[in-house]
This record gives sequence, structure tokens and C-alpha cells, in this order.
Amino acid sequence: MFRILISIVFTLFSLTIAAQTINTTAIQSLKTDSIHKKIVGNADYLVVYDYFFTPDAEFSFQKRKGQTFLQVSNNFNRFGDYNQLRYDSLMDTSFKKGNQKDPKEVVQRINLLRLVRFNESILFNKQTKKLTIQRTAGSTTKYQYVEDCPQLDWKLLDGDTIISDYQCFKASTRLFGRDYIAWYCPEISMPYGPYKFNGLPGLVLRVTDSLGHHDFVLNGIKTVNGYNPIYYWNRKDIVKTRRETVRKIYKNSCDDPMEALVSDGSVIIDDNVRAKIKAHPYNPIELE
Amino acid sequence: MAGIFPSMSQEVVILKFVVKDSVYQHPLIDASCRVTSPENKIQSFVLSDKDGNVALRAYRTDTIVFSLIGYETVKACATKFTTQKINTILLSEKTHKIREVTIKAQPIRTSNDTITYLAKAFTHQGDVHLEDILNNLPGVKVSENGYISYQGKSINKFYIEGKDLLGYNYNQATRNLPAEAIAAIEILENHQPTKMLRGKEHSDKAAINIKIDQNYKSRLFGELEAGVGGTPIIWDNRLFLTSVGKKNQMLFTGKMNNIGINLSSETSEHFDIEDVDAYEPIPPGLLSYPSQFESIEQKRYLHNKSYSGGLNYLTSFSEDASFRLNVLTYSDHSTYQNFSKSIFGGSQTVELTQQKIIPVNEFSVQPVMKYELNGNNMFVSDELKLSVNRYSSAGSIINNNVLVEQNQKSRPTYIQNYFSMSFPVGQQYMQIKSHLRYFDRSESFDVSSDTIIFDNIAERYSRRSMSSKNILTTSLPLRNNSLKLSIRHYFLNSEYDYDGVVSSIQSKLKISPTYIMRFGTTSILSLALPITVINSSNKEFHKTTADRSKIGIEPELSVTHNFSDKWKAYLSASHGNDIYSPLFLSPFMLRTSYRTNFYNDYEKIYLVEHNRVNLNVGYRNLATMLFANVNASFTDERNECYIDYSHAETMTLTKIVKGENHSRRYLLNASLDKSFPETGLSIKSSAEYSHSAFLLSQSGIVANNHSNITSATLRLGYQKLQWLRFIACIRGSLFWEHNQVANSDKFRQLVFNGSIFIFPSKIIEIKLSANNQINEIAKSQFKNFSLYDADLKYNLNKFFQFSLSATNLFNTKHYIVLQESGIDSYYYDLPLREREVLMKVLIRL
Repeated sequence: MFRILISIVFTLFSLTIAAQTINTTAIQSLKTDSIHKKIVGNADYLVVYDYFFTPDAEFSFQKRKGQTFLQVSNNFNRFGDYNQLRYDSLMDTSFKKGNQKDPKEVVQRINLLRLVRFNESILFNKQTKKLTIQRTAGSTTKYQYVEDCPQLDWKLLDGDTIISDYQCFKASTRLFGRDYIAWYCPEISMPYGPYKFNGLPGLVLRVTDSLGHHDFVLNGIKTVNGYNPIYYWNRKDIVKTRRETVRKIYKNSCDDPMEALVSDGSVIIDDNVRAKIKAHPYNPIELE
Repeated sequence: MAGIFPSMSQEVVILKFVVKDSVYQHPLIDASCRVTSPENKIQSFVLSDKDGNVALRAYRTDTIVFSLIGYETVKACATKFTTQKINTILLSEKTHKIREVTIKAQPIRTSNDTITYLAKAFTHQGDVHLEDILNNLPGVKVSENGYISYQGKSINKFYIEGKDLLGYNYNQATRNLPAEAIAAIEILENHQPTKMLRGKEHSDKAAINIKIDQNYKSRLFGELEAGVGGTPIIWDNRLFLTSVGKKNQMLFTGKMNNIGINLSSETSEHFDIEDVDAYEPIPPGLLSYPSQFESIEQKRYLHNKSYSGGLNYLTSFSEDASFRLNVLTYSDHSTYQNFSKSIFGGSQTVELTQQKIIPVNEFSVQPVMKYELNGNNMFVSDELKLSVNRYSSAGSIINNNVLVEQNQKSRPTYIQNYFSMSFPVGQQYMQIKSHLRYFDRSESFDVSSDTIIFDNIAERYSRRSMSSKNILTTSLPLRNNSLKLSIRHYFLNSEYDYDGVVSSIQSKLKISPTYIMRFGTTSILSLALPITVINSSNKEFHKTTADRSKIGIEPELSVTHNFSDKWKAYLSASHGNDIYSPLFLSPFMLRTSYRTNFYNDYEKIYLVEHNRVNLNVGYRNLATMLFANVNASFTDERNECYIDYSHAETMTLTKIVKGENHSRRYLLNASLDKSFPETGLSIKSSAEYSHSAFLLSQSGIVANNHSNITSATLRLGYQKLQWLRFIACIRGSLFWEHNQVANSDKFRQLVFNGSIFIFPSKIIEIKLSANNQINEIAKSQFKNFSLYDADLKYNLNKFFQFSLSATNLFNTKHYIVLQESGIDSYYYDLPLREREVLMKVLIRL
């Protein structure tokens, strides 16, 4: 009788008995090598923006801060997280010096990754007016898709201000479900700005949505002298897909954070615990 | 093109341009073309396309401004241009230094950083203890049994104000520390607990450090919870006290209940999943103890009076050195009862009915002392543990209408020491681990029966053993991969004392090189080729009665491969040898219960050879939230012996017999899950089939028995609304066996479990749950069994909480099960705890 009970218990629960908590036997990590990338040009100008955002629309007073960058060249622009750019640069430098496994270098890189707040990299091809976007969506997997550069309908408004000693003028537009106010500077004759805010007759130094949930503010700007490559990642494990798919994955990961965690069977969460886990806030910069 | 068209009240002209580089004549993309009024106000603007083309509307009095970074700006009045053709605008390159603004980047920290979460920002209404706050932190999860993980990996240390007071028994803190006493929770990412390995051995695990609120430091605080109810009178009480200072820390927990909750897990040997080398299983006892574990929750049927206590104290000698004392104790008085009817097949069928009422007493005390020196150049740790346990049962069994009274006692005691040391050797480092244990168990039982003299008997058994496990490990880089080398020696010396002493010595030496290769980010291959030398010998009165040795290679292979972002597979295979460890060695027949005899020939040593293969293929689509897993495993075991059972009306004889015993197990499991996050609904389904083939030897029959179990499970969950959640699970299973002698009927079972959680406000929580089973108790006859429970919690304020719980609402009295196994069948009736209501009050001190 006891033998039978034991065999039943073993065969029905053999998959769970070792995973009462978390089983992470298949841990993988990146080989310490230079970043796998394809370089499309060298930046002429580098603009850095502070990025303030509201993770949870229900608590709009709670802000988080990151830093983003805009590289400008004749044929390509690139926009992304500035600390991710620094991480890539540090990785390349460490590899060239041969000290990529030095513990101090490792710690520095890890601490840079901890500062990453903006999870998209946007490469703008000026010839084809296409954007190549690479981003994560709630997990560590990177996705890539191509879309047309949005043709923004800018309305010039009355009003001017000074940002970092530059005279700026006001404009408004709507992008993917949000209304924005932008301050652009004709003195810097680049019709570009942070994220996808292109098309004004001057560099955008600040852009904020009407709810104050996403705010890009000029931090610094410089002319690049020397090597500052504009590139996109071309690792084999980057998943090529469509914009709608990636938005869906990200929405799912916020609505049900447990499901993605337990989906591959390596994590088991008790029902009583799962019942009390809430959905993560969902407040992306693109609402539609 | 974009821009505002000017008012139509003045003359408007439409102008077309092409903007080019003045030297190379190539078109300029994204050149800005602004239309400004005489008052210098921007009226409209347009950007040149990839061919440099621009079209715009302007008043004749407007000025057109062409500009592009790196080129000289061109301005002209609209009247200067013709509407009849495309006007060419040539821009000359000009080195234009923009006014730079210094970029202020966030500093890169050069030391391992800490993320600090202020507890109040992450405490929600209704959160009571530290565990509730931990569940609110991003990336932190606490599982059912209390293990904490961060970003999917178990934490490697749990500190309170930087000190490791509790080791891995941190449940005592997480489930008792009140939320308001916590100031902050620090996540120490990539934490390497051994200081001398920091910078040498990177850790991808995190540690947690609890910071106590200033108002609670260096003073005593805690909780007192008291619960009483009926009927009959039931109680459930708990006391928690702690004091956290700069140098010294103390934590006390005390629990007592008679509501069927077994507190023995508070003192059971803790299996440290981070340090497998620190674990050595306790040798099992010889006697058959009344089983208190059924296929339903123990709290449904166990009548108990359980007490447990834990006292933990830590003092720091310096920044690197500390001493810790933990004392855990447990005591239980419970009564186990059931009625069973067994029919044993064979050349002669034997029927056995038993009515058991067995009171059981248990006591355990475990003091542990640990010294640790964790410096930058050396790590030394030593843990000394004593475990004293007492078990006794005195029960009545009515066996085929004969009253038998059986008393059993067991006294397992052990003392063990675990030493661990790490030290540098040039650029590398070495690790030494040593586990030493002395174990002593004495067992006895007395049987008396008025009817059959043969049953009146008293037996005493004793087993003493000394075991040691020593491991030396180092890791070397090799051709961009890594080679891990370890030497492991295991030694076990046991003495079995029953009317004379038989001793057994086992030794296993394992030299293991493991090569780990990574192929990009998609695959990892690990290959180990350990060489093992096994030796075992038995002796009686210093004369060797049996001796076996074996040298072998025990290869292990594992491969992980990601086919794509959705598909991945894992394959593992291993081969190994072990010595078959008997329960007891003696030249005599041993009585293990009032009707069971056991015999193992001590002049023989048997070996076991096993092969295992496991394959797992998984599919994850995070866009459609569809997940699937298929797992197949095969275990093949060849044993040089098997167990033979002979059943008679008054006696059962169990013998270890030499003979080929080849068993195989196949397991196939498939699951398919689909979630609908927008509606909050999730569906999980799974199906399993397992087949076990093993040798069955019973009452003159030797047959290859095939046991089959198949089951299917469907689980529905709903978690959309803040105030309502529900979970429902249905499982059906089918069990049957067959061999050359008999085929059992299929045993069917259907189980339903459901729970509804209602949160009408942040201070009230209601839970309703149901458990329903339909068991086949005879061919095509089914018995329905249902249990319903309800719980209510109410937080009056931050000092008081009231709760009310009711179990077995409809007063189900019996749990009945029928099973057939090969040539046997079993029927048993388990009386349940009746309807009970418990009221509790919690006071925060």
C-alpha cells in the first residue's frame, strides 16, 4: 500500500518536487566579447536628453529618471538609452584591452545596465524614411521591427522660452495616442529630436506629453570629434517581428507578470501566492 | 511636407525649390525651409525630401530661410523666386560650431551596488509581515514554503542589519517580523557572500538585508497571536519576540496548536539548495512506524497537541567574525487512527483487517553553533549541530478480530560538524569542505496479545554510524571555457547491534573533471567523466563476511539549446553505480512489528547500476500567451537483489533475496497553457502517463509487474478584478496494474479544488474554498467526499487583527479509499476532524 502511494506521488509530482521554489539550472550568460553590431555611420553630433517618466499612470507624481541620446549624421540618426550606449562602449573598450573579465570592469558594466531606463533603440534611415527599432518587452529577449517614420502634423504655437541658453519656440503634435508640446530651436538647424519627434525647423530641446508622463529635456549637446559609431545590434538571438506583436507581448507581461515567469516550467508559484500578485502598471509612451 | 498655409487675404504664391550642396551638387535631405513674416515670425515650414525637393506657399512679402546644420544659411524674399520653374538653392558648407552644452552623465559606480527600497513606499494596506512587503518589491518573490528569490534566482543570504542570524531558516523572520518594524529592504545584487572570492568569483545571485526602523532597534518587540474555538476545544497560539542591536541579535518564536497542523517541519533537517555538499541524509529506521501521511492534508485527520520553539542569537566579535547559536525544539502528542482491509494475493490469498488507534509522542531538540570568519583573504566557517529526538507510540490494533497492543520507541541522536574553507592559491583559489557525523539510533518495540502467544515479544535494535564527506574543488579556465576539478571522498562506518554486532564499511572516492562549453548564447554543453572507486565490506566479530569493490566511470552529459526565442530543449543523461544500503544487518530474523519479520543476508553486498535520460522541449509565445511543455524521462535500474514478501494470517515475512531485479520507469508529461491577460483569465491543462515495470515477489509468485498511471488536469484562474479572484482545478486519474498472474481493475479518481478570494476593502479579506473527491471504492461504485472551508480576516488598526475560520463546514466524517495493486487490494477508512470554528486575535507588541 505504501509502495503504491509512493509510486503515485513520485510519478505525479516528480516534475515539481525539485522545484518547490525556483529551478534555474539552465542559466546562460553572454560570452564576454565585443558587442555584435553593424555600423552604418559615424555621428557628427551627439545630443543627450534627461528622460523623466511615470511608470504608473495612477500615481503620476511618482517619476523615474533616465538618460537618452540622439546621434546625428548625414544619412542616419540613432536614438536610445545613453547608459546602454556607455555599456556598449565600455564593453568594446574592455575587449580591445583584453580585460573584459576583470572584476572591476564587470562590476562597472553591470552598474551601467542597472541605470538603463529606456528600452528601445531607434535607427532612422533618412534615405528611406524608415525606422529600425530594437527593444525588449518585459523580459530580456530583444525584438526588432521596421516601421515608417511617423509623419507628424506639427502646429506652430505662440510662445518662446530659453533652454540651456538657446531660444526655443513652441509647437504641438499628437503621436500614438498622446498629445505633446515641443520646444524647438531654429538656431540648431537640425529637424530632429528625441524619440520620433522629427520634422520641426530646428532641434527639439524639450518635449512633454500633456499628462506629464513622458518628458525629454536637453541635458547636453556636442560636436563629435573622432570615433562615435552609429550602429544597430545584430546578434543572432534578436527576434525579428512586427510592432503589433511586440506591443502585445509587453502588454501581456504587465497584465500577468506571473504567467511569463512560470510559462517554461522552471518556476512554480503556489496558487495562494498567485492570487495576491497584482498586475504591473502599464503606461508606455505609445498608447496605440 | 508640413506647415501652416498663410491667410488667403494677401497674394499667395506657390514656390518650388531643390536644395543642393554648392560644391558637389548633390541634393540635401531634411534641409529646413522656413517662411517668416516681415515681423520675423515663422509662418510655416517644410523639410526637403531625399531628392532635395521642397514646395511651399508664401506671401510675396515673406522671407524664405533655408538652413541645414553644417551649411551656411540662405535667406531671400519670396519675390526673388519664380513660380514658373523649380528654383535651385545652393548651400555652402560652413564649419559651424554649435554652442555646446556639457553632457552630465550619471556616474558609474565601481563597487557592487545596493538597491534600497523604503519599506513604507512598498507596504500596502493589509500587509502584515515582512513577507508581504517582499512580495511587493520588483523582482522579489516568496514561494509557499518561504524561499525567497530575486529575478528568478534564489537569494544566497538573508541578513538582518548586515548579520546572518538565521542562516537559511529565515522563515522565522519573514513570517513574523511586523511590517511597521521594517525601515528598508536592501537588495545586494550580484552578492558574493565570501569576501575573499569577491572580484574572483562572480555571483549572479542577490542577497537581502533587512534594515530595522530606528524606533524598533535595540529593544524587544514582536507579536502575540491567540486562537480558541471548538468543538471540542481547539487552540492555535503563537509568540514572536526579537531584538536587533549593532553587535547582538536575538529572535524567538514559539508555536502551539491542536488543530492538526504538524509543527515538525520547524525542526526537520534543512536541505540547503545552495550547498549540496553540506547535506547528508539521515539513515532510515528499521521499524515500521504508523504512517501519518495520507493522500489528503494532514490537518484534516490528525488529532494533535504540537509545540515548537526557536531561539536564535548572534554576537559579532569584529567586522569579519561572528558566533551564532540556534536552538530549535519540537514536541507533539497526536493520535492516529484508521480502519483498513487488505487482501494479499499469491499462491494462497490472505485477508487482513485492522482497526488502528495509535497515540504518538515525539520530541526533538536541535542546538546549532556556528563560527564564521569572513575576511578579504580567508574564509573559514564551522557549524556544530546536535540533534536529539524521541519517538514513542503505544497503540491498539484489532487484527482479524484479535486485539494486539504494540508499543514502539525510537531514539535517533546525532552530532555533526560541517567545516568549509576557501583560500587563495596564486590567481586561483581552492575550496575545502568537510562534513562529519556521528549517528546513534536505538529502537524497541513490545507486543502483547492475550489470544496468540507468538505475538508477545520485546525487541531492541541499535544502529551507530560514523560518516565523513570531504571535498576539494578548484576551477580553471581552458580554451575559452571552464574546467572544474573536484575530488570527493565519502566514508561510512555503521554498526548494527541486535544480539551481537555486525559492522559495515562503505567508501566511495570520486575524481571528477567537468568541462563546460558555451556556444554563443544558444547552447551550453556540460560533460563530466568522473572516475569512482567503491568499496564495501561487512564484518561480524572482526571477521569479514562480505567484501565488494568496483571501479567505474560515471559519465554525465547535459545539453541546453535555444532553437529560437520560442523553442528550447534540454537533454540530460547519466550513468552511475551505488551500493544497495540495507535497513539493517544481522545474522538473525528481525521482528519489525507485531506481524512483520525482516531478514537480510549480511554475508552479501549488492550493487545497483542506474541509467537516466531526460528530455524536455518547451514552447513559449509571449505575444499570444500560449505555452507548451513536453517532458519525457526514462530511468533504468539494475539491482542485484529484490524484496520478497510472504503473507500469512498472523505473519508477514520480508526478505532481501539475491536475484536480477531490473526495473524501468517511463514518464511522459505534456502541458498546454493559454492566458487571456486582458480578461484576466488563464487556462492550464496537462496530461501525464507513467509506466513502471518492476519485479514483484510475493507469497511464492515472482512476476514482472507493470504499473500504469494516467492523469489529466484542468486549471482555470481569474485575476482581473482587484476585489475578486478565483481558482478552480479539476484532476482525473486512472491507475491500473497487470502482471503474468493478475490484472487489476482500473482505479478511478476525480478531484476538484476551488478557492474564491474576496477583498471588499483593504482591511478585510475573505476566502472560501472547496475540495471534492470522487473515489472508486468498489468496481463501478463511487464514493463522494467533500470539504468546505471559510476564512475571514479583519484589521482593526495597526496593533490588532481579528480572524475567524471555519473548516469542514458540512461536517464530513470519513475519507474512504480503495486501491488495487498487482495481486493485492486495499480498502481503508480514515476518520476526519469534524467541523471546527476558530477565532483568533493578533496583538502587535
